[in-house]
Amino acid sequence: MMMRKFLLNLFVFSLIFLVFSSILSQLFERTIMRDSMLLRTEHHFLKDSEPLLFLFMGDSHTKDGINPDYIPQSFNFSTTKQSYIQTYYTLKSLLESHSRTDSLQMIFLPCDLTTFGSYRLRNFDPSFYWDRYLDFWEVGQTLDDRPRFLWKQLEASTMSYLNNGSYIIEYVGWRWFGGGKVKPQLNGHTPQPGDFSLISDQDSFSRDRVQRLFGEGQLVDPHLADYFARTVELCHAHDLPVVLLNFPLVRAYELAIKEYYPDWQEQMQTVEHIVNTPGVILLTELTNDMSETPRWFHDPGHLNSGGAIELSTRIKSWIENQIPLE
Amino acid sequence: MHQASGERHRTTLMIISLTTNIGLLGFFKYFNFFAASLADALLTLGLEANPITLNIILPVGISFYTFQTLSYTIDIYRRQLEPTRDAVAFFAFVSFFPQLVAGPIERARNLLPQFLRPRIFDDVSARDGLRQILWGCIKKVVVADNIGLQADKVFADYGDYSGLTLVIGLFLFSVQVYCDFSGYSDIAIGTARLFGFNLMRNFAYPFFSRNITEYWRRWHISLSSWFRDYLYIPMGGSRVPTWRKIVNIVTTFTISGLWHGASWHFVAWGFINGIYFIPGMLFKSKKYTAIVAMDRLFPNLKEFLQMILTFSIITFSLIFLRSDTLTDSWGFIRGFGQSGAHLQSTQVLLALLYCALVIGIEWIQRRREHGLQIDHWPKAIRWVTYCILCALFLAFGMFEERAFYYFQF
Repeated sequence: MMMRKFLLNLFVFSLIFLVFSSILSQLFERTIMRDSMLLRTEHHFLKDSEPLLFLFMGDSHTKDGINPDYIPQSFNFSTTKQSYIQTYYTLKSLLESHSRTDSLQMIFLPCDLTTFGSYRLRNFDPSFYWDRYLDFWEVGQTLDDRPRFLWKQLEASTMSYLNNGSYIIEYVGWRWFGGGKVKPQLNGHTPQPGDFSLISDQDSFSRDRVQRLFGEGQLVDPHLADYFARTVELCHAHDLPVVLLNFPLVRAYELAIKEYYPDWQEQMQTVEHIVNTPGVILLTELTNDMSETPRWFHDPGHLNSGGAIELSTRIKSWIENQIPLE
Repeated sequence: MHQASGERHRTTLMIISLTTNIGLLGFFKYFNFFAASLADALLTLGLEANPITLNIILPVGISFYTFQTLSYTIDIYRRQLEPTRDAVAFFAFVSFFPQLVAGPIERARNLLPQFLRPRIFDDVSARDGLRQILWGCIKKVVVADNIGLQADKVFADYGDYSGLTLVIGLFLFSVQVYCDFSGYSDIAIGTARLFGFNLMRNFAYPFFSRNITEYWRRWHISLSSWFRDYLYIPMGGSRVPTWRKIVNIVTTFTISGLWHGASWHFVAWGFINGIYFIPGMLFKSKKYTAIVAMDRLFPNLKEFLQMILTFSIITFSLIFLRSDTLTDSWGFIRGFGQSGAHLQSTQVLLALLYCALVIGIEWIQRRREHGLQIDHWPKAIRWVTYCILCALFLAFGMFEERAFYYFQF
């Protein structure tokens, strides 16, 4: 009898908490997340009506490394920790339902040593954001991990604040202590401060990062390679050539990855046939020498604002050689 | 042992049992340590020796359940406990899942009888158990794991940080280790209560202690009282001359340090805590039994200063617990005078806010068993509190894998 009462109480509390949590979720999305970098990129993209010629997709390497102010009629629609799964669904949604993409001439996608690492499968946060683009059920089936993505679905609708305290802290920080000044954000790009050349022991710093990031995962995850192929096919279905950017990594970091994965060449070969597809251009020469200049980086894998300007300028010149720009 | 006729026979059986138990612990935990230490000692005498070290995987929680079985044997030897003939109950007592890996180290006379009698579901106890689990989760996943990030940075690169940052890092570690371990204990005790078992209390708000003696009566109670009952008192306890009492206490704490790990920095940590008792013994410090400011909201100035002093000297000793080697401990202490890098101020502020949250709530709740014992509150307010705490847990919790600190022991 007592246990029944206890379980009933527990059940009622769970229901009340679910309602409470759903209200909190809505509040979180409409107040705190509204001003987040993530949603501002999306708002910025939607509210502007200027036709786009070049669209950059990808993760933080793209976000930090491409400054669209230096590439006319371009937009950087990347998000931190984005994998090719998210890229595929986001791009699909943008190409199919936004008129700004009708005028596109090229799609720029990332393709460097870190792009296909298994660790990228860990992150689908904030779930409510990805719920707009991804079909969690379908992703769960593809990755053969249905329970996790069912949970993500539940999380997206009732607990969007889960594990997202950092957004709340950031919001409170700039509202209360930062004078309400929003971090600059330029057509999806976030200029990063910092200078990696100031780090004295770049080798061990890089090795630690590789160890922490990649863990026991693969350098090229088959699921990500598969979604990479699907993304390229999607672009081609819309008659859009794909330009793959080999985002620069500090040389020490690049070597640390190669040391961590002695079979790196073999693993990278699994995406080689996609890279060699007609209509796909891999830009390696454009970025190769940047790896030797740590002052262009804010950490071993990400360009700082100076590095982003340098890379964006180079891309602009390359584009000008392909298509005359106004 | 219980049925043995002669006293000699009983003692022999007890020695065999103790040797087996301590031998297993020694083999798994201390073999490499003593072998390497012996080789080092011989080297200082000019004798070169190649120590035989084994690649032994330390079974999780071995220090905890070994002490639990030792207490069973000793209590039977002392005729304070009837041995059980129920093997299932005995092994359930040794391997009871909530407290198997990090305690509380239970006494057979408390836990074993609970396996033997029929259990009736107690709604009040189960509800309070759930509250205790929630509070434990907040302390571990929200507070300890978040502030631990900053403390880890400072201890990992103590040579690069300024003296002030080292002090902040040390303070954060002190709160981290408390929240981590007491959080685990709360979860373990709360879980056991859901199943109708009552485990012993392991923490009683140690940060609000007014002297070292009180602190050690409030910190890791199950281990401190184990050492008191099975080591300190058999050595003569406090019924001996002062100098013997000092030797007894320093020995007990040094062994307690060794219990934490097979390394000299743990031994040093125990030794220092033993030394901390000497002034109190020499000057007969007051024995506090009730919690500070029992009938008031705030402590008076004297109590406040006593708490700050006790917390500070205990926190200082934690350098030896947290460092990886004795050399690192000295390096950390020497770093107090150095200039260098700082932690990001917003991260420090946030970590301090987490500390204030726990210390503030526990201060208000200090007269109760745990930080969330709020059964006397009106139901509506209680449920709103649970909702807010659950949401806090979900939003600010660190759900990446971060083991409990005491699992390593």
